[in-house]
Amino acid sequence: MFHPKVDGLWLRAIGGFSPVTVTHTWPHGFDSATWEMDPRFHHPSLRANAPVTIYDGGVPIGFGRLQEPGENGEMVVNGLWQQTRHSPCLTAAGGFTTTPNSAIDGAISRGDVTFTRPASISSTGWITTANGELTLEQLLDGYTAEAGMRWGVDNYGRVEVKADPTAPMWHVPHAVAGRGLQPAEDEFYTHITGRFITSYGTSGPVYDVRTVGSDDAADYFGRRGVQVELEDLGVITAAKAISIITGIFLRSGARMGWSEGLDLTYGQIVTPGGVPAPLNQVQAGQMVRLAGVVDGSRAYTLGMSQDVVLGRSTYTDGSDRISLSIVDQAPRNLADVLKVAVE
Amino acid sequence: MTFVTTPVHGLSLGVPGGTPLVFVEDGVTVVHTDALSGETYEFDVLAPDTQWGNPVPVVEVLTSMLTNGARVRHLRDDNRLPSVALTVRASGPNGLSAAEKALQLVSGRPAELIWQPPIPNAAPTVFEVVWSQFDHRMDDFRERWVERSYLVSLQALPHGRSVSKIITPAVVGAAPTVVDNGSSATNWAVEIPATGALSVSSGAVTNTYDPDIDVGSGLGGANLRRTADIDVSDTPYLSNDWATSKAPNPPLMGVTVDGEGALLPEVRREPGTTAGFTRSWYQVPAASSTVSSFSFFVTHVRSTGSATLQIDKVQKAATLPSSGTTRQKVATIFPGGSVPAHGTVLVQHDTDGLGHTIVFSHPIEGGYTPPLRQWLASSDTVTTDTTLVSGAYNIMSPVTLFEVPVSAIPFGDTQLWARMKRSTAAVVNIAWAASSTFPGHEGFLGNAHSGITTVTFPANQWILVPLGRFTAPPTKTGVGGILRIGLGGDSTAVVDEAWLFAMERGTLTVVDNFTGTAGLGGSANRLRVAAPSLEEPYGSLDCGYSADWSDSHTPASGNVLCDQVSHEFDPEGTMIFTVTSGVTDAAVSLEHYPRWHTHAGNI
Repeated sequence: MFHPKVDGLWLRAIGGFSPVTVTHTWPHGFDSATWEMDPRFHHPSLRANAPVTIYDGGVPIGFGRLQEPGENGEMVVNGLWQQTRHSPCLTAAGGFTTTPNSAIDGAISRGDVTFTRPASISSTGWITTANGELTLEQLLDGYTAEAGMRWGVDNYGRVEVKADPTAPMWHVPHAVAGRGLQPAEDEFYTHITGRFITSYGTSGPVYDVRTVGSDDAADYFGRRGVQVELEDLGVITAAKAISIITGIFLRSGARMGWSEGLDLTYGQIVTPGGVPAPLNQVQAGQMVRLAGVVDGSRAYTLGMSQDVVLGRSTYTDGSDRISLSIVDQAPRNLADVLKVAVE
Repeated sequence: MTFVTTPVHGLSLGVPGGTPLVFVEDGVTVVHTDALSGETYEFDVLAPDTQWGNPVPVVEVLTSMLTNGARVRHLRDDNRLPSVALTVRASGPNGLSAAEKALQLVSGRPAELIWQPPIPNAAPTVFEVVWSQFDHRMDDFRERWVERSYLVSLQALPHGRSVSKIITPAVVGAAPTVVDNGSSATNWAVEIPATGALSVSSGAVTNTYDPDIDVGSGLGGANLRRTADIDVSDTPYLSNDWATSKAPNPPLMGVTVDGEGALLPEVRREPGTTAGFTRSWYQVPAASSTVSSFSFFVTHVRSTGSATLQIDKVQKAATLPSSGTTRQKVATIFPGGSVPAHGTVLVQHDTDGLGHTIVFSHPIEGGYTPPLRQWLASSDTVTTDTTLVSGAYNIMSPVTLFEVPVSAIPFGDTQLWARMKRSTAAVVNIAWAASSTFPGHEGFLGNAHSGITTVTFPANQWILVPLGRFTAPPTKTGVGGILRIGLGGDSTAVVDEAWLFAMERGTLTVVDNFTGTAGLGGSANRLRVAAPSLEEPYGSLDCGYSADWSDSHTPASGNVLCDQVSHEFDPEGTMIFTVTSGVTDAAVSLEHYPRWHTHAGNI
């Protein structure tokens, strides 16, 4: 049973509430929770920005902040990661920084964010230009994109940066997976070109471009390019630009994205050992194997199962149905990474 | 065929605690008198518009590969919609008005509709009304006869209940009594297979048999029957310590008594006294005072060679034995009724704070109980300490391993909790893992579930920590499989007890009531967990100090580690597990109304 604790109080002690719907995303972790209460009911703890922890039994599954309750009795909790959207990248002393550790610790010390940082993410400045333009979200997005990883706030309220998992936590049996997920080309690129600023001249910024990509993928699927703008990062070196584009490319992996998600009922998703998954335990960031489905989304590789990482999971407490969507690309393991030719 | 010539039916509608409006009593329409006018009125209850409705199941359709039809899963039941058709007969207009006023006083609010069937000795049923309204049906002809008709439409909780609340009193823990120590074959017999040889081997009664003999359904198997009477009038729990050479691919097994075919529910499983033996506890039916025979059987896949079935010990007990110390207790309740009943659990001690208090309920299933130390397989040196919950502790490095038979763990959503302590304050990562394997196999099969939980230890203080959740067992195995739980990550922290709570059908309440002499503002010696009801729609969780609960209060939210209050008693039997780290043998009592589909039975 999902049970919110609002402002330090178990919600049952405040009033009756409907089953809680919880959404996790990857990247970002716990994203939101919603439930309904009697719209005529008011309580001093049910206020904007009240701290909320969602518990599954006694185990926390998400930390967030309450939105101002509306008149319809619907309560919405935003996950702590959303606090990074408006938090500037400043050190605890108030200076500009692009060093993830310093920026996070500064935001924590100011109270801009209320998650914790139990482990180092990076103590190196991400880009040299530290002029305060970046928000903490942009810094973490950019840093993790370059590193080929993702970031989020875990179920215990801790910020974390990690690569996608490479081993499936759940299986979807072949009888359910059927033909599997439909690859989609709209998020598919074989080559990425980054446009960045090398310097500022008398007539404005001086731009340059660098491209990375996979010739194998271009041969197999046909070349498909896209340009990404890196000018928000200010002046960066060509090496830095290549590093960032490569990180983006490695995450997408020169393979098809997926055009659909999974809408599963109890028994349709199981542990690798065949035990039906408790749907409350299935959440974004975990890998799911669609058993017995041929994976043709990768160049010159015919996988005998589709492994996908869950990008979004939405589950209503007590329901026998869960809605899942897929991170737009497959996870990477070392063998896959080495396959990718970088120009 | 029986026809009731003198019906005793009755029907009333009333606000709980108030005076009900009685329409019919003992088969006779009740005549009421208006106090102001002195005019009389009575209600005629009319069929067929009078009916009790039915629980409305709420189901979810599950996607399947069925060509025709669909799988559905029952989520819960919604309110039923009874209705009562009435004609009021009065001696005058004031009587008619008084009748309508009386009806209004019991309508439009929570109430109890009580139906007594016409059959003598039939139990009355209470329908708990959430809301009701009544509609007048105009009939000018009836008005001339000083009569008026109404239809009362009600919305009631889905299941009817018995009139009386059942209070299951606390039972003081009592040590088991040995009925048979297995050292002699006297009173024992072998029936399955007929060629099985009865003997005593290594202090255990033994059936040596050919496992290739078909004992039914193409399976091999064996039994051991004890034929002497066992007085169970005050000891409803029977146990046997059993072992089979068919391990690690062991059998389906069970116990029957008195030659009946029905299996007794296995209410608790633990390791036997002798290594290699498993102790299963069974509960005999409440009506039994003597068990004249006791048959333990196994069935298994046939194989060649020779096999043995052994029983080392038979015991009986008034209460289920505790695991470690009486700071953790297991009780069972067979609540009567035909559908699950929500109830109240009270955990009390006369003087001392309960300490870490856990109340966990789960339908009886394969002898499952949550404590893990009873299944300890390997760990650092175990030190006995009777002041602890489990009666012992060990350092969490090297990894503490527990091995639980998968047949004694419900499948699905499971939470792992532990009671731990560290001599110095520190923030430590405690690692845990759950995996499936078989006895004697060091590795695990398939995938494991694991996690790391950051625990903030105060210095030298026991803490109760939810470590994580996983799917039990991670890999499906045959009945001989074991679920292996590992705990580790710190060479200073020690673990007292760990628990596996099966959350799929279980309900868990965890409160820190603190220890020491109880008193307001300090530790609490009483805890009451009440499931949601019409009176308390959100349920309640109270700690208290006095036996009359006059000084009870809601505990501070920070002291409530898991706030689930809807403890449910399954008609097939429910296991109630409690922990009180502060006191031994806490008094655990239960209160509930038996619930029924529509008609209550006599209990």
